[in-house]
Amino acid sequence: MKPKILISSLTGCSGCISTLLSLDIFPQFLERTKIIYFPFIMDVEEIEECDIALIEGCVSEDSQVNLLKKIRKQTKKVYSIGTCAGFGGILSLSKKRIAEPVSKYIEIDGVIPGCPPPSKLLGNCLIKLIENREIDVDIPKKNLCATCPLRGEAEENFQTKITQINPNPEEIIPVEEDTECFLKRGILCLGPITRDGCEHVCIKEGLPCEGCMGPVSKSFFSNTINFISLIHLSKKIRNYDGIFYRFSKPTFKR
Amino acid sequence: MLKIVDVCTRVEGHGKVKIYLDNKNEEITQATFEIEAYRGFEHILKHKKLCDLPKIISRICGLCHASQSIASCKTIENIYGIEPSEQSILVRKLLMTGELIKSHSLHFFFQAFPDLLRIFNIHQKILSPYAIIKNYPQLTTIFFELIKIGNEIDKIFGGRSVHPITVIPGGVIYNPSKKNITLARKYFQKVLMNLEVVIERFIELFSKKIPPEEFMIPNPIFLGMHNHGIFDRYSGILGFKEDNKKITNFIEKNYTNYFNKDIDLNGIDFSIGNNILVGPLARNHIVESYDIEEVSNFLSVFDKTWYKNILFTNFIRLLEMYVETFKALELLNDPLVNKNESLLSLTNIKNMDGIGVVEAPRGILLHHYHLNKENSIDQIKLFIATEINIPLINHMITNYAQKLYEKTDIDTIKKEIQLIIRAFDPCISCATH
Amino acid sequence: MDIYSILSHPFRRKILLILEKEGYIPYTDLMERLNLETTGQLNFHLKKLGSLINKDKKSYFITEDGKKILQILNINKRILSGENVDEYLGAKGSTISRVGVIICNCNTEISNIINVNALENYINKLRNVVSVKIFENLCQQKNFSKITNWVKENFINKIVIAACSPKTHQHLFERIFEKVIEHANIEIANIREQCAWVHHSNGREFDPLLILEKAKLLIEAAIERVIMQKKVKAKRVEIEKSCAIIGGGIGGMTLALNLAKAGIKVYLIEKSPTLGGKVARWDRISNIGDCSICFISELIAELVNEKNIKILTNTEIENVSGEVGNFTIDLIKKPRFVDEKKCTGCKQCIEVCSIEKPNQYEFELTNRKIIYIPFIHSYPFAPIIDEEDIKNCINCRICERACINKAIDLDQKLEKIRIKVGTKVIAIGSDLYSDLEEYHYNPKNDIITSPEFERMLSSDGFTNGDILKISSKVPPESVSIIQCVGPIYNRLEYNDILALKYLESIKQHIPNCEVNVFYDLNKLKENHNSLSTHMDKKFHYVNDLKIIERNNKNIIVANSKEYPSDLIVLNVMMVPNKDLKILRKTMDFTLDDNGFMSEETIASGIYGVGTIFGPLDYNSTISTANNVALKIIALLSKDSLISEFSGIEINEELCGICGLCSKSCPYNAITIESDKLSIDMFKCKGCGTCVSVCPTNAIEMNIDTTEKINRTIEILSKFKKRPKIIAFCCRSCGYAAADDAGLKKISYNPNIFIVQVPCTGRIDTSFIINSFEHGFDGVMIIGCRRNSCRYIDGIEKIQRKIELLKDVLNPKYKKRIIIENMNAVEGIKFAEMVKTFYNQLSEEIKFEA
Repeated sequence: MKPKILISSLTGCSGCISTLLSLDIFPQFLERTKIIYFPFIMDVEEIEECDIALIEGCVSEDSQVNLLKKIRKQTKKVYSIGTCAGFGGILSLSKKRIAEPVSKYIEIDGVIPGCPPPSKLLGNCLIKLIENREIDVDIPKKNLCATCPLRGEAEENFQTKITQINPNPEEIIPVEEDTECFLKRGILCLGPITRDGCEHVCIKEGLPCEGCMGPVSKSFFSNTINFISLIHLSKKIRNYDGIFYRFSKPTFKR
Repeated sequence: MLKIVDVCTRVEGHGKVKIYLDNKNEEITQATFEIEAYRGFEHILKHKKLCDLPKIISRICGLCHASQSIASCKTIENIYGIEPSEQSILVRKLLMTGELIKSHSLHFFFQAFPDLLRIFNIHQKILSPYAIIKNYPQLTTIFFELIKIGNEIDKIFGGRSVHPITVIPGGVIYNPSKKNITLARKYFQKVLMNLEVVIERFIELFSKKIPPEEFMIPNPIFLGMHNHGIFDRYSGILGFKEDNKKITNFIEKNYTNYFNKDIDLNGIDFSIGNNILVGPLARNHIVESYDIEEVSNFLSVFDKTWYKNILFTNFIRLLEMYVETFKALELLNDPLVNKNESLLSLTNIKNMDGIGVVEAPRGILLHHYHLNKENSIDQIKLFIATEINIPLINHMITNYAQKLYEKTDIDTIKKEIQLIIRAFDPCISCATH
Repeated sequence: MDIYSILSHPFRRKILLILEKEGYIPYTDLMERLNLETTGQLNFHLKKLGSLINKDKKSYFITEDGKKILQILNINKRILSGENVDEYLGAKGSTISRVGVIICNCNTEISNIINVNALENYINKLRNVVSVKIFENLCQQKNFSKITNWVKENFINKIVIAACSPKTHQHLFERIFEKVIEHANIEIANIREQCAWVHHSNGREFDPLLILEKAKLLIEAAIERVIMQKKVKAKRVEIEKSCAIIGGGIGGMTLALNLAKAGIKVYLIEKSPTLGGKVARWDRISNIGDCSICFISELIAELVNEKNIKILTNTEIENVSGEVGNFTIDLIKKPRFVDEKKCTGCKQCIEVCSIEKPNQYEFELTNRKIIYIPFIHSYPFAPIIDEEDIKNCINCRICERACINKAIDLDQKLEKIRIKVGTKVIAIGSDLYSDLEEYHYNPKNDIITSPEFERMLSSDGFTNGDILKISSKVPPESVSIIQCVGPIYNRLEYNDILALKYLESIKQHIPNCEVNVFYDLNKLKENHNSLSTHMDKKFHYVNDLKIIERNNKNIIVANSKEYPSDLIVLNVMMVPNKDLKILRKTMDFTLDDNGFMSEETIASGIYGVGTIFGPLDYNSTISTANNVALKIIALLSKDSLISEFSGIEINEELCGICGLCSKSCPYNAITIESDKLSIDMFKCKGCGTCVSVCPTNAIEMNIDTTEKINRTIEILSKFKKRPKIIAFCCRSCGYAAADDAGLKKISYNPNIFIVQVPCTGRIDTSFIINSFEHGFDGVMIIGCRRNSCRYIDGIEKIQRKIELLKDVLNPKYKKRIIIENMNAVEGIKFAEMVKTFYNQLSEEIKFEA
């Protein structure tokens, strides 16, 4: 019996869906499952009973809460895909709109993080899901520093005063063996508070981590405050809410 | 007054069709394609650091992410009064090609193709991808491959397949290795081969048919980019063209002469008429030539009745992919593509206003940022393809719905008019930025 | 009926044990064995035993089920007797929580305010609670055996005590349950200091139902916390029967002697080249009248003869690790450039040396050679070249040639010494106030300090014991003593005693000399109440005091009256030793508001003696030394200590080795070694600062876990009446201040809930966010004073977090987080703060509505 799949988008950019559709294993996924609800590519509107629900996008309207509750009721396992569904996502920067993770309203069975989730991670997780196995093992549980190519002596990295959020274009250097950690160079990198698993694409290009994989534990916001309280941040960039609310925010009114 | 609502399927994002009936339910007064939940990026982006903008703006849309960030970069470069290096431009164009292949393929295969089969009475009962896979296995394989290749190309040149990281204001922080150039070339060649098959198949299936009149665009004003008449989505200029008239130049910095918007009301005011069309078909009318012989041959197969029919957009999409891939292969041969050029520093702000335009897969993106005295962004306006097309969509679906109401019931109508909407390939994420 | 209920009655357990032993036993025999006279009781219990027993031909026997249960019962017995039975419980340990709750009426102190029966009813229904017991007065000895029996009978493995503050009786409770329940499995709900004593109100009563609700939630939260407690590893520490005494002054030496006589090995560590401390240079010891140098030299002589004492002079502490019972101390013995053992003290080397510099032991009033002996009764009595002076040595090597015993070694290197001790004592004394510009301090102009005057009085001093004007070397006709020069603390007696001593000495030396003693009341301010006023006319209590110079003569102008003064003595105050701040990095104690060592906060295994606590005279110093000696002897008389490690654990599967924890640790207890975090369990003091910043939850505390604190927030948020306030209080100061409010019975609104954290540095931003998300209207954070934080700088760390938080949160929340420094006796301030905050929030909520 092929597992029945439901894929639903809430408020977001469809980047996760487009990543899903362009996965190597997507044809295989189609073949091994029975997709019963996926408005992006098919004309079914009613939510029926199914085995696995994948949800993309953040919750920003009441109607979406009803939809979620309906899905939860009909589905054995529900997973959030991407940072929006998992933690709130980019709309957290908005002062006017709410952007909340799916887990605020319904119980979920897991989050596949990333903005969008790295293809390999998403692919592995989907295979696990259709084989009715836990995805837990695939989701990295450490932070980005764990496997960082710029990893050096950790203690030294926090000594410098942080004066920049992004390196100036002319300072962007391709990563070589002896390239120093961003923090040591005075550039804010959110690697320590961000989940591993993105394969360090930004860092390898010479850009610091901005946290799109979301937090490992606690909330992104709390972690940011905890982290920044330990480093010397120049006054100029301290109040820049672009750091604190990039991918999630506290759920009480800001 | 009765209002019938239906949720659109097989479009990107959440849209609804609403059909308004008069009091006696005798006549349809209006049919509209409505999008809700504006996300308010124009507010979010206020007072953000300039170099953060492309990264945030990219998140407006997961399909035209590259075009969004590139448009943003162009705008910021306009503010600093700098021109990125030629190498940067080459990489940006390659990135946009990857995006176009993926976006067009996704739309054609999952969203448009089932409609075409239905409209031309080839298959009535295609309701899910499983049916296409079963009936068109070769096309399925080809399109899955196209989508994947588009994705891979973006990964190569953007650093990541969605929401690129290599594109930054002042240039591109990526210098493709020989290995990656070879890989990209192989991918593009594969795309060309596949597209030839697809285009031939399309011609075979549909070219002899006469497209339904309801899909004809009434008195359109085409708006698009061209580079001295040649197809170019990155470095051209904008022009608009009314039926049988010559192209008028669209002066970007005076865009308010043509349309403007109040970001709090989320709507555009058009001053040159509501039937503006942007997107592949508009580009097709704006450019004089694609500069590729085969393309002219492909086009000549179709009868003139197709030219202003929205369904023809589907063919133009295939064509655009072909053209861009063809050109991408030329770009890859340019020795400049991996020339080492240092990035421009962003130090002196020259203009307090910056405007940047590119052609995303679905049509033009026009970004306008205004800086205040502290050099902080205090006003942002983003004009995005789908929102420009909406008045035209509404015009067309109203006409079609009214016409259908004479012979069929409202439930059929609400499904039927979605065919038009889908042909436009609206990107609702973009439109609700 | 569950197994535990079946077994909860001693009778039924006894029946099972008898059946196990006998196999088959007839009904009547059973009755006899149980000493029963009626059948009803036995029938009842036999019925309750259900499937555990069976009957065959009127004989009872035990079933297979029953045997299994017996096995469990036996294990249980072993657990209760403190044996480790992990083998039965599997790797993860027991997950069963059987919570017993004790409510103490506290002699009606609690039951008068809180309806204890309603409380009991509520608690009985909570999950995992197996029994609730109410005591009139829990801390009474007669209840102890009752309690342990109750624990055993109900198979309770976790206990919640709803009574007074843990500050009051935690140790007592831990002792009561020592044999049956681990410390970590005892939670205290502080319903006295935080509830009954602060919401009673005189005049305006608070709603008793609210107070009851608060008590319910406090207990419920404690129950939830104790359920979440996992097994804590206990460790056994072998006690090293030795003691390190840091500081070779009078306090240190007296203590050393005491301990050595009790058979304890003592390391007496002195930073300077000689023992003796400050007193050695003083004239006489006040109150005793004995010449201090005689006294000290006698003491030294006794010390030197004591085999158990190892004297290490010229030695500094490099590093300390370990814990009570077993510390390792790394020492650096600086080079002396003279071999103490070979030197006979002939001073030939000093004679021949040609380089001079001012003598710091005579307050630079005289010169000395760079090779020198500090003073005549120095120990060891051998010359020294200070390490800093060796660069001034011209390397003529004449001293080398002058020394017959070849004791001079100009190439001597520093020596590293490692010692292991069971306990350590800080006896480094205090510094003397030295910022004397406003008094025109200048010895050459006859304005000197009290220590300099002491040297003048000493027979070995720079005037050979004569009182002279330094400028003209003639005896003064008038001497003025200005009292209490320096920061004013409560303890002024010391200064007073000195003045009396000086009056006496001057009278002896120069009978006709006019002496005046001045107290500047302006400087003393409210502290002058603690001053004992002398009726003697020589004592002047003035409001206005200044020193002027006219015709090369110093004159004191006091209350507009002029006092010509040939010699002015500034009687300086003792100020905290500047080395205390350095020692704090390696030892565990805090400083009080004045910068002296705070007695209450010293960690176990560390003691302090002498003026590190503030100005003390000789007698008091000696008595503290004797007192400490007793404590140390008692501690070191045991062979080992068993303690639970309440610090942190690292989960390597989650750790990304980002180093945030190591950056945040105030004790450098976390290091990164070969791509792995390592915790020095001995350096770790369990403040939890690292846990608060760990982004992956890889570090967790053994007891104050994040999970527990979040759950506490969740439970307490059930309180219905707004505004709801949550207060995170650090264990040593904030929580104690709240207790103080209770002890003083200052009433405040019941809407506030106190959550104890080990240190304010433990507070994770997510706790605050979580509190707001759960509906708390205000968050209070109460920690130690700046500069005297129990864990060095935890309070500064939370302050930084809060600053950032306030910057980025909605302005509304800026006023809803308050952070305050308090010490343990500021209960009044605490209560005031709560009331003000409550009123502010009430207004805001009204406005919102």
